[in-house]
Amino acid sequence: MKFTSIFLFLLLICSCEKSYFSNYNPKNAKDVFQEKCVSCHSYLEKSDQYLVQMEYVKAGVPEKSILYRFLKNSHTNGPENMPPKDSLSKKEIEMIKSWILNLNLSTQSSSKILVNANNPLTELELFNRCSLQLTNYTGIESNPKIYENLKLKNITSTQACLQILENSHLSIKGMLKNKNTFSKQTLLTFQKVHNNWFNEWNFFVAMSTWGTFEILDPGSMGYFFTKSLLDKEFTFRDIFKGKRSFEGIRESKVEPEFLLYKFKNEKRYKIKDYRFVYGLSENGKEYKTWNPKRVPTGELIGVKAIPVKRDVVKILVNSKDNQKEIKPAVEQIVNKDIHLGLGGGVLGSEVYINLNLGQELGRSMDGGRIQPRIWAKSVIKEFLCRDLPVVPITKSEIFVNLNSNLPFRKNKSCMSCHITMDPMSYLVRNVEQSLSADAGGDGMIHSTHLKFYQSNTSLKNADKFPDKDELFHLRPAHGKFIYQDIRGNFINKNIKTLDDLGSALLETDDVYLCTAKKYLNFLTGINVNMNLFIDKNLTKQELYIRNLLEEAGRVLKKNGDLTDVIGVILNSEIYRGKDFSVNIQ
Amino acid sequence: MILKIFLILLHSSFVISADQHISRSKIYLNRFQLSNVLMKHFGPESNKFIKKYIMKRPSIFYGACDIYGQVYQNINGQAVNYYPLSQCYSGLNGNKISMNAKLNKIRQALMLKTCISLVEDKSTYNYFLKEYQIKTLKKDQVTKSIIKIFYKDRDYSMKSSNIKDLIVEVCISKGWQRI
Repeated sequence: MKFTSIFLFLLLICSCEKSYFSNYNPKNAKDVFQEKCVSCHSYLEKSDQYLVQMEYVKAGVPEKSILYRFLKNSHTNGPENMPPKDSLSKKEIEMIKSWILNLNLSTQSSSKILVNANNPLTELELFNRCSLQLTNYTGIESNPKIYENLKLKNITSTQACLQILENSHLSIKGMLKNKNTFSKQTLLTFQKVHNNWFNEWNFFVAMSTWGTFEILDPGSMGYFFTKSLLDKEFTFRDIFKGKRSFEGIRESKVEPEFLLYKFKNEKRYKIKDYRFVYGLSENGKEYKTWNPKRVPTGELIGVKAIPVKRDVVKILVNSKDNQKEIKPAVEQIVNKDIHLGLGGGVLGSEVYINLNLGQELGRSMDGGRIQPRIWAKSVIKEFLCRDLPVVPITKSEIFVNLNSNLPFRKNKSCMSCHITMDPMSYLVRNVEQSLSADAGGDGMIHSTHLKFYQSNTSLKNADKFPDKDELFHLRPAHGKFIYQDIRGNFINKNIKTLDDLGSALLETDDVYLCTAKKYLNFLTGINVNMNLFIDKNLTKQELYIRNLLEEAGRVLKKNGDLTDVIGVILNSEIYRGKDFSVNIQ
Repeated sequence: MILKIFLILLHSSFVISADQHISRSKIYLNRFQLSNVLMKHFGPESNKFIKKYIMKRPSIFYGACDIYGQVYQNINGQAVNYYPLSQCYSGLNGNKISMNAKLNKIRQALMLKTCISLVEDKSTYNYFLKEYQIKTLKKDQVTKSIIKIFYKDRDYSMKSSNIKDLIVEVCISKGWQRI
């Protein structure tokens, strides 16, 4: 009897409304959305302007507002089935109604140019299009409920498409909130799209070790963007700061029995026949072994931060075989977390620097010939969509040093590229590619990692660009961001950390326009040259696309939400056109 | 002379009005999207043809593979991937293939092979007929219905003497394969 009473008491507590114990006391519609709606409909956190523009509400007219028509007891003859469990109170509904009535926003474009989709798709066709692109399935298959609502004209096709994205959101732990065939597919599609934004991926080609594929994922850079798109807590800005890296959360019904990498014309290697090794062999045969976690395999169901110090390699082998003076390899105790970056988020991640270092194993940076210029060039190309040179010769020629022994330092046109690459690459001066062990194969897996030199703060940096500085890699890793952005602003900024570099990139419009144009390319097949934003003589079509990308870039800069970029494109006339084209009058 | 100047000016104006900073590529269904659409029409037995002609040709039909989606098991001494949709048929560099497919002659030839196989195979053909109740339709409705299966509400004109030929003709046509 006693236990029954306790049980009933606990049941009563647990079944109580959340608001009974919380401080929920809504004062306006936004409070109601935050408490009752946002966990499934995150777009309700966005600005009034966004909600009006995306046609979730019609300013001043609740009975014509999709959002209101979906509320139970709104008496609008709409679907009236939200929230799915409990209804909103009369007071809450009144708050929402009042908010809509008092909205005073116009969705009309201030432009006098009339733009219409060429051969516009119907709402159902448009939903079919985005559903195929995101989930690989037709609209009616991926979400019959949304399809039905669309048929009944309860929602627009843009809202339907954005709902597909909403259904693929990640939880705090990084897993898909709603795990099903279609959300998994959407997650995977975007990871593949983001993966394709990066040129380098092959550890064996870039770093000489196939074994690296077993413990580092070349898709790592893509995960920063995928997480930002589908995890509301991880904004666009977060992509460019911090030292954490991300990996896919995967599930598999079976355990893998073979390694991933396979040489042509050879059989696959069995996992049980191979071990991870480090250091130098003790007698020409035996190596020390370690147990890093292999990259997860199976179906992708989420993205998460790799725990700090999960995989630490004790020793890296310092091989100077490629230098002029051949020295025997030596062991160096490093106790290195192989997933911890240098800062700047994706910019300083182990995988990104490793793949783009462009220097041979064991080479220390000397400030002159030996610098990670390819990394700097890749940053400009892959995050800002710019090809060097970006600094005009008139601005770069002051950096020419006729006394230098390096030919490119004496030449104006060479310096117009080097003036951006070189000082940026100084931020990564203290890394060196090293092997975990000096041999692999025959049952042994070795991998390539970055060794970091601890900078000696007593050493200062030279004012000018050195020709060759033996201590360069030990000096504080400071650099400069010398760049002319797409608006013509010349930037010459001292940078002390990669986080600072990330911030500097985020201050330009280039990074937002670059991201927007990549999504435009994926969704429409339209490829845009960044000169679109510089050239004053544009065709009407070019001007339209420029304005579209400017709008997408603007919302991304303001809100830091990649969904907004996709929303702008999906809501555009160009996406509506059968051939992704528009008529402009 | 005046005519020459006029033609030069006309040519120049045409050149100036051409888009210089944007280029367009038509997007077609990639191998994953195509596979799902065809499986819906022709049933699970169609997988053998889709795998042979479409899925194993990522460089023709596009759609990146998923390197770490592959999980290899030991089945009778052979390494078999448990998740065939992730398979990198052309090696790990398949992870860099675009998700947006383009049209090419080899694709068209392989689509022809696929569509003919789907129609010639009894189980896949009968699945199609049963799924869309083709045999219950009147003669004059058959063509329209088959076109609608692939093209939904869009108009497309086609004529063929028999159902099989018609299905192949519609199946290989490019229109429904456009995104």
